[in-house]
Amino acid sequence: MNKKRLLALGLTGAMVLSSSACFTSQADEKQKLVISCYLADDKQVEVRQNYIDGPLAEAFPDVDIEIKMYNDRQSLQIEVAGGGGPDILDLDGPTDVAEFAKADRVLPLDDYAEQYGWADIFYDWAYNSCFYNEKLYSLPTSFEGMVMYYNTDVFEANGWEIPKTRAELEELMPVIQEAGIIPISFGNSNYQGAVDWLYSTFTSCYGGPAAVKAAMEGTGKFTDDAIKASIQTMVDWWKEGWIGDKASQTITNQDMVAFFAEGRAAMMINGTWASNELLTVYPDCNWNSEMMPADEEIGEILPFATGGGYAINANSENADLAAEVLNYLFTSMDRHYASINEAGYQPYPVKTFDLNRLEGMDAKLFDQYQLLMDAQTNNQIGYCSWTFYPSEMRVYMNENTDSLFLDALSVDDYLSNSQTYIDDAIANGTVPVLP
Amino acid sequence: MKTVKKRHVVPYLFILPAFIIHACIVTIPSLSTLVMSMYDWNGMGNATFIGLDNFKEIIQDPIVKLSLIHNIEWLLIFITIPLILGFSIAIIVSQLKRFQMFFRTVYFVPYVISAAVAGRIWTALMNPYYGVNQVFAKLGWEQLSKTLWLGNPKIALFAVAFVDNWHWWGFIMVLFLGALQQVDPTLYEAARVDGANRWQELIHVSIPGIRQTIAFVLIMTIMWSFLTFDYVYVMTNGGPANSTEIMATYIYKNAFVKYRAGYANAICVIQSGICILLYFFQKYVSKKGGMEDE
Amino acid sequence: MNRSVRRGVKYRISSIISYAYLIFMLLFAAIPLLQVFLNSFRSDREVKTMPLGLPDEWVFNNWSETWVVGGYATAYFNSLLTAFVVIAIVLVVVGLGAYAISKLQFKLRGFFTAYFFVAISLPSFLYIVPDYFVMNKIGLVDTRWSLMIVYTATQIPFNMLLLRTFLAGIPRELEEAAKIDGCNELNSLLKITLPIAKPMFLTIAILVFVHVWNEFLWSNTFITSDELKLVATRFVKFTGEYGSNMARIYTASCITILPVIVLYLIFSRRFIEGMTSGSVKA
Repeated sequence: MNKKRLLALGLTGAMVLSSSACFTSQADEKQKLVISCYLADDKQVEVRQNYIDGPLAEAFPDVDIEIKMYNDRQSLQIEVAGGGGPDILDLDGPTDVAEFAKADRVLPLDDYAEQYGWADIFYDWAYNSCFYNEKLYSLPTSFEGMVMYYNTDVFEANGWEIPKTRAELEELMPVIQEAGIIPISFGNSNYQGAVDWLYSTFTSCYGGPAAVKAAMEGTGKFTDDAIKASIQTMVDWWKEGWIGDKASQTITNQDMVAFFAEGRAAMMINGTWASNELLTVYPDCNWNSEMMPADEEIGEILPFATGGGYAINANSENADLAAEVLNYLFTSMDRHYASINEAGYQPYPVKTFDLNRLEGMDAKLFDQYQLLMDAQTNNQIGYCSWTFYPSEMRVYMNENTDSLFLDALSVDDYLSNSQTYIDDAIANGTVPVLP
Repeated sequence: MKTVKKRHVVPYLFILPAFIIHACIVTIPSLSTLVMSMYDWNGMGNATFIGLDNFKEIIQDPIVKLSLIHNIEWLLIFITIPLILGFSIAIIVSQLKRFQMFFRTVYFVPYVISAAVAGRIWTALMNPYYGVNQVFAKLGWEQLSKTLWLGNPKIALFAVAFVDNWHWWGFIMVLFLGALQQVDPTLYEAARVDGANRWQELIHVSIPGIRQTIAFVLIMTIMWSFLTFDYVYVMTNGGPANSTEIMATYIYKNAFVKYRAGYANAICVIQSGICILLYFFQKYVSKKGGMEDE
Repeated sequence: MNRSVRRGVKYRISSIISYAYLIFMLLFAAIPLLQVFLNSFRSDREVKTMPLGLPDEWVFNNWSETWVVGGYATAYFNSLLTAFVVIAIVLVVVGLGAYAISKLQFKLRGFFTAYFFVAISLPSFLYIVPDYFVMNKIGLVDTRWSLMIVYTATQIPFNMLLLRTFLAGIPRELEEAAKIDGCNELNSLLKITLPIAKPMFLTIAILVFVHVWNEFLWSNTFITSDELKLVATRFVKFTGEYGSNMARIYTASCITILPVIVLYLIFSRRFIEGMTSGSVKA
């Protein structure tokens, strides 16, 4: 009896406490601004404290800025649909922003863009990709691309040369395989959508950016020979066991990087974002990154993407403030360089970005950024699906590429289905703008 | 007179609190969303009314058909294996004098651990490069060591079901165990006096004693087989090549990946409809079989 | 003599077989769990390159660091508080409701039973958006109340039906007898049914507890302040898709489930003892 009473007492006490706690938090007079962000582990949170939270608090002392982590789209979408949610949304990129824009859940930023002169800050290709229905809805958060990673320890130990052309690569891969090593590490068991790294790379590098661009602009088709051949190449390589050892559906993204770093695989097709993980988790692995070995007719191509987009929630009560915060983020370059240098952040796609400010950072990473800048200046730009494909088309391709590998779908059907999504997008005027 | 009236009111007073809480938080909002199954809606903003178009699309959608088949396969697995495991272990454990707590706790823990973590461990165990396949290779079982448990479209669904079973059967066992311990001990004594052996005790005392629970677990399993989500989502998310796609993952994909909430809601209507039909079907069957509980 | 010996041998063989079976299933259940536990003592890199096996080098700071970074102390308090409130309400309303639909005669009994069955088939994403909308309007988002209310509601149907099943197994004569003794329905529920159904109430309490402890979609969506977050939300902080520390994930999952196991042990022992000490003396 006594115990029960004690428990009841404790519970009432706790309830009173909790309700009073919620009163105090409401009494807080500071303006509050919430920014959503991707889930990160504690190390990254620590880093973020130094380069985002801290500087923001300093720059906006009267505002209580909170960065809220989300680990999937679901919670964010529910909050936004339910009339709440963070003020600044960090979304997956233009294709994702478009859905929020369609529902009028994010604000058009054109007025702010004029006020702050954003059009002059960003690279045109990145800035233009943020338009939907001829209005600006987001700002590109980072600048990334798909590259080929080489485990130089493995290459040296076996006396292999890093291939410069597609022909050399195709010659080398059977040799690697014979040595009992997986040529190209790949795995998507925990995130199927990772196939978009592959098909984006193959269509751009071996089908050619011109063919992809023509298809998106309606002057060509996604079923054209060039693209068809590139997808066929991807499927053939997978079936040879060159990509993912015919088991990519049972390998996780973590395995994929681990296999590469531990020398179980010699190469890896991955985004520039992977370099950070390689450096922090596998510091003793020697690697190198280059553009995909070139197809003779097309030349070296680096598929570009923006890593995400900052948009302003239409439910936000502090939209002006949110715009100011965004402007601060993209103009406080000292902070930004420090975050790249010391924490391996991906660079913003801004014109003032100066590689020389990054001297002293890890040489491998520096080379990679150099590669990105060179590709841009030399116009060797390819197109990643999460920035430059219509969103439905990307969803379709992400879900069905594995079916190609497993013979459950033919390349022709795959491409003609993809084409229907382009047709729809052209009809609706929602095709992303390609540089 | 007064008491008769009271008798009529009392049951409602008992049931209404639960009903009202649930209806306000779950049913009424759900119905308001289910209406959206007749709209073209991306889950967030303005919707356009399209009548039954979503349902027409469902009928033609091969993936809906495929996922329904997978759900039925799932049902066949779950209506047998975990029930047999749960029941047999519950019988044995209920007769243990020592270590009973130890056993029941260990069996129950897989149910407690979150699918996100358990799914990761099992994905690792099923990895061809360092999982159980390496053990098989050492034992010289060539064929088994080359099996891609989660990568082969023909076995992926069974592999995931196996893992979900690992998590599930302990829960079933706890339900059975709870029911078994509620069976009136005097019935066992009476049976023993009549010279029944353990097998006869099982048939004549234990099973009839937990008949209700068995029926309940059966209907729950049947309904849950059409609603299951966690492990498939964590381990394969419907892949490879839709070979583990089930209704819940397909609904999830439509609602949150493809931004087709209207269509997802329409599949939800179908899913709930199946569950309702199954419920009335089992009610009909148990009435026929004289199992209707009173 | 001969017969009893044969019986003895038979008994021994069957008990050996059943023990072998028990132990086999024990290993089946425990080995993956053991691996989770072991992985919490390994370095991130080791876990990523080879998720299975013993640690090459035992790492002990995962636990202390995860505990501090995760802010688990507050989260534990929040989860416990929420769980206890939800359990209390669920036990009361479900107890009353299940008693009504299993023991009492009334017109809409069939309707209510069917209602709760059908209710189970409603997936949470159907009502999460409207619920969020309403709670946002009335200021319940980011308070403990929101989760308590939602968890209570979502836990009702299954537990109602579960309890109904068990109550239906208790002979009605017991309650009738009580009523003749002058008890009203509530009294006969409290004095007769409740003591017999105690283990079932415990089972329900545990199931609700596990749910509150692991549930994450709602808690992640409805709670934004750090000081109100529950254990599962804290845990999810460690399970990102990119660049997360796997060893910490395993540690966090151990930290998350240990209390559940301990509570399960404590409570079931007490209740089962109470049970066998003879509340069923019809």
